[in-house]
Amino acid sequence: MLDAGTIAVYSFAVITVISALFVLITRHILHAAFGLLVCLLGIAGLYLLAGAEFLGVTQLLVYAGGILVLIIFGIMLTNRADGKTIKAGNHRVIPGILAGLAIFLLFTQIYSQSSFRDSLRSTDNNIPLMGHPVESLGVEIMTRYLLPFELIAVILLVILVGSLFISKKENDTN
Amino acid sequence: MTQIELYFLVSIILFCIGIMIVLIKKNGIMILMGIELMLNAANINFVAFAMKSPEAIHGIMFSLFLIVMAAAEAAVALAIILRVYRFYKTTDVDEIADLKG
Amino acid sequence: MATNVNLSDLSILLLFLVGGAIFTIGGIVTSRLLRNDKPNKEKNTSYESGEDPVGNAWGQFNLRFYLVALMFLLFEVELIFLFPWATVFGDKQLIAETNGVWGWLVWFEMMIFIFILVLGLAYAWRKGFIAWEKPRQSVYLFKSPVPGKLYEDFNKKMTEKEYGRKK
Repeated sequence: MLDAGTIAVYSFAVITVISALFVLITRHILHAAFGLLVCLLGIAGLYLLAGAEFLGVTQLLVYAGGILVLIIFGIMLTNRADGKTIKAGNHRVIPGILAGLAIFLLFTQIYSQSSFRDSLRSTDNNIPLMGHPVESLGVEIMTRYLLPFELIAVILLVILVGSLFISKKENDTN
Repeated sequence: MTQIELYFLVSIILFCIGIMIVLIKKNGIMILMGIELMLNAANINFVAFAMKSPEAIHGIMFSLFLIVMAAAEAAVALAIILRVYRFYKTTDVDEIADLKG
Repeated sequence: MATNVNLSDLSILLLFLVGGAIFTIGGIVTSRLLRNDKPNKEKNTSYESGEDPVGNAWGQFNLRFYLVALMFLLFEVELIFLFPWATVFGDKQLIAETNGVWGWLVWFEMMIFIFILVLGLAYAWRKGFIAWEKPRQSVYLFKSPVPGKLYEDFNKKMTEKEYGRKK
């Protein structure tokens, strides 16, 4: 039987995988960026359906609204070709695909032989989905995850100073 | 297939596609996109395991910090790619081979 | 597969948002796949009110946009952490349980976080990454060895001469 939640989960999963494949297949780098956008939106939908609301919002804000914009700016800055269409060429196609398939087989084998597989299958319908309200996240950040939280600030400071320094023009002396 | 298993499958497929992009594509920015896909695959795994666990909040926190790290990584990687582009006038990783013996 | 997902209102709203975005993009892609595709040179030019466009639409993209986007991304990450903080900062129950310690503790923790990031903002400001570069006005500075009064005298003399001849 199909309920609305199941249909939503499956459709978001299919959208995610198809758009990721589009990123792999397309040869136009800007099309690849838009494929990545759809893929990230699909992943945000999967997070929301898994009950991780705040993570879904974070995915939308940081990935779709921040990282992807940065990537598109990077494409526009590095590919100002003289009227040519922007191609992202391939090399080592056959070994690359073989390596990907090998890793796929490896992971599926690991999962099918894992000890937690049966428990995941049997308990799926019994235990209700855990909700993660934002308040509990806030309490956790402020108490148990305090050190990582402050370290994030230090890392962001280093990243800000470093990436601004790297990407400025050489002749900027001010 | 349960919901968690579906999430595992999506995560594995995304990780493999990410690896293929990293190996196959020549453009530096495309390689960065592949790395982002792989990070997202890892994140989906954390969320899937956190779905039914009573200690779920730890998986969510881990994913949250991972997304933040991904943002930092993308910022630095793009800065380096821009710098390389300004020096070599290309982002093709095959043509940047000055140190190749 | 039976999902016993009991979504909150926020989740449903966000799901509609995400789904709407994806289906909009899907519609555009579908119409792109189905439509006729017969480009010619006239159709491919960008519309410039009938003028022929000069140059390339990709040319001269300013690096400043990229730097601003970079700073935006890092401060957006800061914003992500401010949201959960704001929901528990003034929590009356937690404050009552800890005799008011909770509020001050959380306040100082977040102030340290913001202070560290403000250091980055100060760096960017000091180094001029935020200031939008205006085209510099070049003022022509030329020191003439001839004093200015000589010119004025000459002009005066010439105008008098001119008027005198007209009269």
